[in-house]
Amino acid sequence: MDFVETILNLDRRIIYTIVALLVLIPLIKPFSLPIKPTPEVIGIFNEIDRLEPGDDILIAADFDPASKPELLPMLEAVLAHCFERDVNPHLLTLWPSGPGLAQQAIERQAELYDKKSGTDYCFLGFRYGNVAVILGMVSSITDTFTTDFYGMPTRNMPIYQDVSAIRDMDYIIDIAAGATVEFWVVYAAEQANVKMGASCTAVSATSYYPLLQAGQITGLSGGMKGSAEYETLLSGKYGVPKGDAVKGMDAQSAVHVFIVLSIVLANICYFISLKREDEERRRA
Amino acid sequence: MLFFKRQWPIIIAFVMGIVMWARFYIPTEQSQTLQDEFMRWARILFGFAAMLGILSLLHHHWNKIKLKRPGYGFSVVTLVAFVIMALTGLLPVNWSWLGFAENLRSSHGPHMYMFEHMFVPMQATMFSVLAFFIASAAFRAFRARSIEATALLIAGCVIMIGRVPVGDWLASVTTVEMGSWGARSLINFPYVTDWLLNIPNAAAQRGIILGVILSQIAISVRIIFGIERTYMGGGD
Repeated sequence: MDFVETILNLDRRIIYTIVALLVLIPLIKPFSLPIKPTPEVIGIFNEIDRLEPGDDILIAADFDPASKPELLPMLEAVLAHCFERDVNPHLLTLWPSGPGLAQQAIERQAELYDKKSGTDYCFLGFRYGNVAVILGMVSSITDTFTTDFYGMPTRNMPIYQDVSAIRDMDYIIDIAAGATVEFWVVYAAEQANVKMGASCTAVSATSYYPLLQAGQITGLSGGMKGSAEYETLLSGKYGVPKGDAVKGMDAQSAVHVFIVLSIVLANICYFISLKREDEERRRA
Repeated sequence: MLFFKRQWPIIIAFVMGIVMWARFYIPTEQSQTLQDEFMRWARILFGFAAMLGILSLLHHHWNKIKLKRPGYGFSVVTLVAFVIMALTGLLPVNWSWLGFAENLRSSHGPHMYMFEHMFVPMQATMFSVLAFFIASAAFRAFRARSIEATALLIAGCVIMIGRVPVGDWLASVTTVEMGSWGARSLINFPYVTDWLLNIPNAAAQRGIILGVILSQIAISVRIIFGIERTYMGGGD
């Protein structure tokens, strides 16, 4: 069997091994490629950075552990940004398996910045009903979430003395693994006339470019790359240590390069084999 | 009884559909109160829908175990995991004797412990396996067999490099001074990626969104007027 045939019949376990090594090696020994923030991510960063201390931001963490590497770093970075600016985050999730990760993120960041639940931030937890929940919050947040995640009545919280509905928010960001971005844009941001940003998985980022171009969202962060860009911006301005997204970018770069090179190589071999078959047919 | 099975749901769908549509064009306080009330109902209904889903799941797996259908062992695992997660999350039991926090909602409680140390790694593992499958599938099946496939292949490869830092690095190391044009990059994957995402992709996505919205309007009108009845089951 010559080189071309060997490549075309390559055992998939070899590919799996190479991918595993390309993920592991950069994680163990990073080569720290520079991360250049894109205008899409800067669009979210600048809007949050423009908020004054005491302003309120609604953060929807609509994702589950499957999207943790892509979206949890973004959630942590946005929360750190809010606490750096003394902005009050109101965190919730529309995904049943979302509260666990959101709880970890907000508790970790609140502890780092010494922030108090109910005063400096509120973790509303999960409510069933997607659009019904959003529309409920457009009318009244404390009626829709009568208690926070920990069972404390929201109506008595200091954070809700000046905030009653989504229209009182100064910015909305949906960190989403599914299609909830469109719900938040249509039913919250547009109805309450509040600016909004979106962070989503890399695979769904392409769907939101029309919203970005129409100005319905001020910025868009796609996948782990978007999270890494946000971490880079946050680190550059406030000195916040870079998180897991930046650490993962080298591994992602290595695997992407490998996949592209393997596609090119496989196609070259494919065309050589076609040419050979053609020649053999002509000879016969 | 046939009335409640066939006509009654259609009447409810018609009345609610018309009321909610009309409400949108009546910007008064009463209309807003009406919507708030309906949204409260909707959230309660969603709760019942979730309960129905749980009962259906339990019923399916219980039957599978009872009849010892192939793979019933997985159903046992599902039910046991379901019961343990539900009990640790719902029962007001003090778990401190096991070294956990007393508060059920605490991140140090048994429910969160299992979420963090079992559910998260298992779901993350399932999703990360995709990377291996995609690499293998791209190597084996991504062939430039037609013009369309070639366009997809080139766009895919450009975006894969343009969306990771190695693309920026390549652009910076291949930047050269080009007289009056200033510094230009010879291999600029991020620039081409931006163009692909903002022009052809956004145009196609806009078309898809418009198509989806028009279909949603059409299906909503069909449901309101009782033409579309598949939501009642039976397939008619």
